[in-house]
Amino acid sequence: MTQSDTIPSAFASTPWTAQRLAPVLFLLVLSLAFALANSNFATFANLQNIVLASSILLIIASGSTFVILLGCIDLSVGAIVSLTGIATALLVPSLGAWALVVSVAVGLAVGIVNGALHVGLRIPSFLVTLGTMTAIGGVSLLLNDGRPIPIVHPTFKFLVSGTLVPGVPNIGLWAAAVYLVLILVDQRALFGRHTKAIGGSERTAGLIGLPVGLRKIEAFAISGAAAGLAGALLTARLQTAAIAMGEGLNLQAVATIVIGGTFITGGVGGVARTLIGVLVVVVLSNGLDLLAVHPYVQTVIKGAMVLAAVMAMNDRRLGIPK
Amino acid sequence: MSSTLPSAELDVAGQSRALAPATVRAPRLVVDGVGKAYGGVPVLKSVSLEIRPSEILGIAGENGAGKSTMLRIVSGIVRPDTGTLRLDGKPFAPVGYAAAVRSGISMVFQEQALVPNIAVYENLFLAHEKAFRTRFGIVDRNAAIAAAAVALDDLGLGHINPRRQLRDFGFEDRQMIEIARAFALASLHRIAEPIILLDEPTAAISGKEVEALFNRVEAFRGRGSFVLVTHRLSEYLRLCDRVYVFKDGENIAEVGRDRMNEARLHELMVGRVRSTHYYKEDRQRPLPEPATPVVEVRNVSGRGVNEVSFVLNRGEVLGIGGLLGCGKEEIGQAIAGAVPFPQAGEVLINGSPLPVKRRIEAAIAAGLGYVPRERKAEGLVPYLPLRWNASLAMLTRLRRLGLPWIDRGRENEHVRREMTRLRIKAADPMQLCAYMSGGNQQKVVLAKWLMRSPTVLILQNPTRGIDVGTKEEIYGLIRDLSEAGVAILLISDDLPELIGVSGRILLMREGQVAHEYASPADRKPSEDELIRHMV
Repeated sequence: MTQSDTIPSAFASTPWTAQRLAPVLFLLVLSLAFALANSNFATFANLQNIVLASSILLIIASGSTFVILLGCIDLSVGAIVSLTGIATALLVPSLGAWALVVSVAVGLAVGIVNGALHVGLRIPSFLVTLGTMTAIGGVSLLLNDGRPIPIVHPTFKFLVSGTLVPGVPNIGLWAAAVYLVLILVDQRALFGRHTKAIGGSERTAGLIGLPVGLRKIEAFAISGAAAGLAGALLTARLQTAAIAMGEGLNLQAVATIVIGGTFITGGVGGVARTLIGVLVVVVLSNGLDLLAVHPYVQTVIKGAMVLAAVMAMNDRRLGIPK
Repeated sequence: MSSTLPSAELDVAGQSRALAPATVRAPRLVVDGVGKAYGGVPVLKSVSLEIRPSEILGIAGENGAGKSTMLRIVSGIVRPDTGTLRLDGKPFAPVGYAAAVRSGISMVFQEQALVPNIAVYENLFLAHEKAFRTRFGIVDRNAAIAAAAVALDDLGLGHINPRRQLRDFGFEDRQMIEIARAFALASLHRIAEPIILLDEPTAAISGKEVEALFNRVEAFRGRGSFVLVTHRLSEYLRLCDRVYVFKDGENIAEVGRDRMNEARLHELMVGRVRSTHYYKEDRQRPLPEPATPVVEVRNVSGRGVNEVSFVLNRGEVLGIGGLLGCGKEEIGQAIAGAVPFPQAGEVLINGSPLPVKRRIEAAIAAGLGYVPRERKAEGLVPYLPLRWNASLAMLTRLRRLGLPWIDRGRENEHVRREMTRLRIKAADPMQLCAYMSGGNQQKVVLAKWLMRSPTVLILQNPTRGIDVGTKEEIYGLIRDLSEAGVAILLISDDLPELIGVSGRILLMREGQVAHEYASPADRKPSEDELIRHMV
C-alpha cells in the first residue's frame, strides 16, 4: 500500500511520503510567489534578514521537537526565554560571555523540573508547563521589577552579530549548530529512536522495557536548555532584556514544529522537518512585511495559515482508511 | 475444501433461496456476495446468507473464519468491500451502528460496549435519547427510567436499578444489561420484529445467566429474529433452527435442525479431523529427563489471578487455556511485569526472583520476550517503520563504542537476517508497520524478541486474526525455538491450537489453575475434554 509512495530509503531516515513533502513544496511555492510579487524579496540582504529572524525560533523549536514527538507539549519555552534573557543581562557585567552558559543551565534546570513533575506526579505536560510558565514569568518580574535591562558588552554582542563566516551573522551559525546536533541526536542516538517509539505507542514502549520516564525528562531538559540558549542569544542581539521578549514564542514554536510535519499527537516527525516549519513562518512574515500588509491583517493571515497547515498535515491515524 | 463435504449440505444461501418453498415467508435480511478485506487480507470472500423471520440462526466457525466481521457488516459498523444487503426486500446499507439500530438491527457486543460512569438507563438508550425528548427539547428522564425498568423486568433483571451507575454492577450483570439494551432499543424504535445479533453473549457469563438469557431468547422467538455466534457448539444445538458454517471467510455449509449434531458442526468448521501436520505435532518431542526449570511461578496473586503456581521448563511448550476472564491473560502479564502488577507471590527466571517494581526491565534482561494480545496497541508502534520496530528491543546492544549512538549498519544487518528467517514480506524495511498485514505484523513482533535470542517467550494469542498460511509458519517457528531450548508459554483462546502446539496444558478457571493435562504428540486430549474443565 505504501510501497507506491516510498522510495529506496538509502537517503531518507523515514519514507518520503506525500505528507512529508508537502511542507517543502509549500515553502518553495510561498517563496516563489513573494519573489515574483516583490523584487526586494530574493535579495542577499533580505536573505540575511530571514536568517536573523529564523535563528532564535529554530533553536527553540528544534529543542522542543522531541517533546512534541513524545506526544507532550512544552508551553514554558517562551517564559524560559524571558527568564534566561533577563538573567543573562544581569550577569553579563560580571561574567561576560560566560553568562550564556548560566543561561543554558537555568533553561536545563527548568526543563528537568517540567519533566520530573510530568513523569513523577503524572500531571499532563500541558498543565505542568502552563504552571511553570506562569511561575517563572513571576520570577522574571521579580528579578528586575519588570524593567528592561540594557547591556553594553562588545564580546557578547559579537557572539550573535559578528560575522565569522562573511555575510552570515553569527546567530545563524548558532542556530545551524544546534539544529544539526539535534538532527544527529534525533536520527542517530538511542534517545531519538526511543522518543518516536514512546510517542507512537507508550504502551508498546513500556512492554519492551524502554525507559519511558527518563526519556521524557530528557526531552523536556533539551527543550529547556535550547530555550535557555535562545534567551541569552536574544538578549545579545537586542542589546537589552525585557519581560516581553519571550512572549508568544511557545505557541510559535509548536506551530512551526507542526507545520514542518511533526504530528502533534507524537510518534511521527523529526527535528529535520522543523526547519521547514520555521522557514514557512518566517518567510510568510517577511514577505508580508515587504508587501506592506498591515500588521493586524498579517496576524489574521498567519493564524489562518497555521490552521490550514495543521489541517493539511492532519494526523489521520484515528481514521485510517484501510 | 468444500469438495470434501457431502453435497447435500452444500446448499449455501444462494441456492437454498432458489429452492425455498413458496409457503415460507420472505427472508428479513438477505446478504448477497459480501466480501471484506483488512490490509489486503480477505476476511470474508463473497459470502451469501439470509436471516428469516422468527428464527434463531447460528453462524459457526473457527477463530478468524469471519463470523464477527459478518455481524459487524450486518450491524452497520463495518462497510463491506463488495456485495449487497437487502432488508425486507429493500436495499440496506447502514452507515454506522445507530443507523442499523433504527432499522431494527441491534447487536450484543462480545466486548462490552457500555459506559461505566453513567446510569444504567442512560446506557440503555445511549445515542437514542431523542426518543424521550419532550416538546421543550428536554430528555424526559422519568420516561426513560420507566422504559428501562420495563425492559429490565422483561428480561428477569428486576434487581437492577436503572438509576444506578453502571460501574456499580458486576461483569455478569453488565452483560445482561447489554443484552437488555438490544431489546429495549428495538421496542423504542417500534420495530415489530427486530433482528438481534448475539456475538458470543455467553463467553463470560456463568450457567445461571446463560439459562436466563437462552430462556429469554426462546420466549422472544416469535417476536423477532436472532443470530447467534458462540464458541460452544452445544449452544447452537440448544437454540438454533439453522446454522451456517463459515470457514476461512466463506459460507461453506447450511445445517438444518434435523441434521445438527456437535460432531457434524465441528467437522464442518475445521474441515478435517484435527490435523497433526498443521500444528507440526510430528516435531513435538518429549522433554529430556530431568527437565530444567526456566520459569518458576510461585503462588502469584493479583488482579484476576489467585494463587497460581507452575513451572515452565527449557524447551517446553506450555499451553494455558480457559474462558474469557479466567485469568490466563493476567498470569502472562504478571510474569512479564505488564500491568496489572502482581500483588503477591514470586516469579523466578533461571533461579533468580524478579522484582515487583520495574519487573519488565528485569524480565527482559533475564531473557524474556513478551508477545501481547493486542498486536497494534501493545506489540508494535504502528507508525514506525518495520526496521525500527524490529530493532527496538535490542537497540541498546547496537551501540557504537558503548556510546548511546545506534550502529545503523549492524541494525540493518540484524533486521535483514530476521526478515529472511521469518519470511517477512515487505518491499522495503522502512515500510510503516501500520500498513502491513496482520501476519507480517506479528512476525515483526516476534522478530523483535528473536533478535535478542530469548530463553523464554510468552505468547498471548499469537495467531489471532492471522491468515492460515502464516499461522502454520508460526507453529513451525515455535517448534524451531523449542528445539533450540527456548521455554514457551502459549496463552490462547484457540483450542485446537492449544492442543496441537502445547506439550502440556493448564486450564484456568476463576483465576486459578483448575486442571493440568499432558498433551504428548501421540495422546492429544480432545477439545470436549478441555471444555469440560473450562466451564
